Amino acid sequence: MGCDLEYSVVHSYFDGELGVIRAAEFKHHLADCSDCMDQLAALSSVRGSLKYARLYETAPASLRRKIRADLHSIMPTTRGSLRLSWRGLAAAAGLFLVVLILWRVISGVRKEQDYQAEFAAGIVDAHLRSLLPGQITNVNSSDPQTVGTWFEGKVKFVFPVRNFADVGFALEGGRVDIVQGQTVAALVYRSRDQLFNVFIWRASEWNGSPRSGSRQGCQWIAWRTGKLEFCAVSAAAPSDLDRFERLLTE
Amino acid sequence: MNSCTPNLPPRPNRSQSQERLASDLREHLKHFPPRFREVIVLRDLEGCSYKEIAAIASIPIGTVMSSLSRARRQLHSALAKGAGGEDTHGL
Repeated sequence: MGCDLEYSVVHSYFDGELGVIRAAEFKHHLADCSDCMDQLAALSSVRGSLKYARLYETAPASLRRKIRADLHSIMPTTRGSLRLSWRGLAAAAGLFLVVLILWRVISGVRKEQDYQAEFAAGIVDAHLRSLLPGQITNVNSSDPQTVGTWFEGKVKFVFPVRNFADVGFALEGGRVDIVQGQTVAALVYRSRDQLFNVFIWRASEWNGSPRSGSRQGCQWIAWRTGKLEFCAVSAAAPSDLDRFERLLTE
Repeated sequence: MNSCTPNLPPRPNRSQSQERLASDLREHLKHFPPRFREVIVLRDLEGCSYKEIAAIASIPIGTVMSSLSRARRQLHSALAKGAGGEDTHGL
């Protein structure tokens, strides 16, 4: 790590374990430290992958609180007097799982809306993360050929790169990003003072009907063209995003 | 992870990408030292605080932090290798 800060500070900040004052100091430090920014992005990527994979189901918050309270009530207060082995942890995790399987049977199969909500969360998180200083582009260029060439060997698919500067959406560059554990290409455009990310990845089993939504002040719209899926995200007005999407799909 | 998660039927609505990622993660985590698996699951999936993890695992908080750092670095490296990159961003 090029920064002088201990690695533990970055992890503690990421985990919400720094006190208020130290957290504020670190946040101030972030404005000038790309190393720490990169670390935070990497930590976010790891956690995002773990959550996205849904290695096991998690209980509703109310149930988790109750089970955790029950677990804490049988644990001694002095550290070290009860050693919960990995087997003990497995039993506790197993308890969560058994309860949650029953919960899923009662509540029914997960709906398409849940998938969309997760997708929206992942894509908007990636967009917001890119707005951190130094995160937006790995290649800075308004030349579509330069940007397109840069992606060769970095992603395993080919996609069109165009500059719409003459109609108000200027290409600024691109980067490789990770959304919900998947490597995606991201093209960056600017219209007036708003940034637009266009995420591109290989199509999955989704049927291709355009989807759209808003989350955390950002609008997003996703569509499929051939074997690729696209998603444009911005904090711009929905009408601007619609106009941008029409340019991209023409 | 295999030692703590019972075998479950496949979840009908999990996407192919989720299935692939879950399979990759299970394979990586299988080779982790138990302590690393323990802390990364408790922190990044269960949302336990460092203090809670220290109490559950009966280890000092400093060990929680160092184990978590190393586990995350290993997992990020393994995932990045799968995606074609190697940079651990100084984790």
